[in-house]
Amino acid sequence: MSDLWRPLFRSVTPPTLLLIGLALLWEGAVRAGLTPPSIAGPTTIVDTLVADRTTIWHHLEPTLLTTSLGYLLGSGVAVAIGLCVYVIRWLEQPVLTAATVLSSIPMLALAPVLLIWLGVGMTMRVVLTAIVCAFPVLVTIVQGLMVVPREASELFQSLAASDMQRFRLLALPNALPFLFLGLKIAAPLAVLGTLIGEWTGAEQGMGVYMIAAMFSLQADRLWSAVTIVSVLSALAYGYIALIERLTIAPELLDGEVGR
Amino acid sequence: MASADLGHDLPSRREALRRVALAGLLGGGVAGVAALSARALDRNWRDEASNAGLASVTHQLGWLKGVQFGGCFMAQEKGYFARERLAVSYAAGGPTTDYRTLVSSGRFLVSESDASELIYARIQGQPLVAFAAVFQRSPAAFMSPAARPIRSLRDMVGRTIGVPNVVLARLQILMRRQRIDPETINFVPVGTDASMLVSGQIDAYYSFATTAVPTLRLRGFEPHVLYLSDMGMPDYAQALIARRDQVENDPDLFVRYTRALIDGWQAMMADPAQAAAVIVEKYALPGTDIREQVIQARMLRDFVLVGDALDHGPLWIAAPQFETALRFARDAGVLPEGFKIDVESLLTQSIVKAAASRPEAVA
Repeated sequence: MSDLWRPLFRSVTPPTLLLIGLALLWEGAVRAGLTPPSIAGPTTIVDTLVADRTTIWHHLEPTLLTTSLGYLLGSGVAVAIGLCVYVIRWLEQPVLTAATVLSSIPMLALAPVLLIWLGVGMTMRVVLTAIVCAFPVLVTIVQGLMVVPREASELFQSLAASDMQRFRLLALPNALPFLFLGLKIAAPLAVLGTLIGEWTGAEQGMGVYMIAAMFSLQADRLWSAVTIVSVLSALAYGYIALIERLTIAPELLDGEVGR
Repeated sequence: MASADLGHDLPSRREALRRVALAGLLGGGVAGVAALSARALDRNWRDEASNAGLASVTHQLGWLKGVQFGGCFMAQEKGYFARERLAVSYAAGGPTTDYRTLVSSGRFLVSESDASELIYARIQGQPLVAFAAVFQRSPAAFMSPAARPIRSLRDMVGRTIGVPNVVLARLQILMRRQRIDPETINFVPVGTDASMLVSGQIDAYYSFATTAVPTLRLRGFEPHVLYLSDMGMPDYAQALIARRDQVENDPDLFVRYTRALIDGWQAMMADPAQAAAVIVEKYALPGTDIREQVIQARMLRDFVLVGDALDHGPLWIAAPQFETALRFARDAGVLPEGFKIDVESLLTQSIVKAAASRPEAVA
């Protein structure tokens, strides 16, 4: 196994084994009648996922699209603002304060406001998802760009590096691990933002599927939806983690960040 | 020399692999998003092309698409909207959709409300007016287990009842009238989700009987239904609302829409089971339970074709239900001091009268 994949294997195996163990316990509890009827067991969930696959794909498709577009928009805007803050230093405090205020508004309260402003279409759900994603990315990129190692900074100064050289060779590489941290936090949040947007009123989506299942007392479908959404969040996180591993030098991933 | 070459080759091979893997991951992601976007755009273009040259009506539904809005979908299915030269689009609602504000803000032309909540909207300054009513008698009710039924407000004493806050305000008036201490009933502000009743966490919960009863029965739970109208709170449900200025500026548009809906509801009532089958196949969410929808469709007749609708046809609207709701609001103390509101400002009968009066309206 190559050095590139061994750490990944090491990080994936223990949680996978833990999840399998928990699933076995869960199935046992359901079969023994120890759980309320509103809880479906893993085998029921798998059966429902197979039997309902066409319906689930119909709902999963817009959720995937909204999550992706919202994530790209939110992260893109956050990175752009972060770069502006790097160039215009005095913006750091006002921008971070405004972002903190915006992120402290509960998503459930934000959704109806956006609905009135942008309508019930996909735009509203994409913007809601983008707002949810932007904060962690913004905070981490700003921190990564601003907090460069002192020794390196002094070296660049003594070598009379230009502003562009400082940015390209010092600030940007230093910011990447921070940025990926923010992107990884934002990935599952994007799924959550999309679901909340769909709960506010949508034609299709996993959020709509969940509501319909919940109000029809269909525990098997509800748990299938929960499973899909959880897997989607984990995959989104894993996808970014994989890109991070392929982008950043291994020594930076092993704890050299910001030293 | 050979070993030096090998040492040089290894990192470069690894680097090449890394680049290929990264490009594959990023390329796959971009391709996936592009494919999903293309499918979504294609659907939008097809919808827009088919609606060219027609007057637009946007209607925010009060819940997920299903037979609860059967008249709307049957009007679409039978071509009544096309006959009226209307392009009607329906948006599904959800548990957190603010229907009245969406109409007030101009996002939608039409939505739904009952009389009581329309009064609350007016207090908030929303210039809304009701111009037709789908449910002549509200199916709003408390569902309790048939084995331990709640048959009256007095039966709620000592029990845990799930009820939204907006309904609780009205219940408190009834409790005052019947001299029931509110402290003796444990009200919990839950949504209209039946699972808490089935799992025994609450003794009754508030919902539309038309949606709750089929769901509960099909899961083997026999409910007892206590209608709010039988408790002394008669009201319309799914009264169609719009901004007053929009109704006054283009009454013809609303008359045409109401006329098509009247015909749609009559088609629905003529054969509820057949209508349910069409709605599940073409309009409802994929995966909607047809058995549930058929039971619900059959129940609707007792709410759509009752009262004034028997004499005037479906969707009739009149002042008495609004007068009752206004009395409740006054008794509950929800009207701010000095706030003036009269029944005439809450509804207009002119639209439904004009829609129902044409000779071809009622077959």
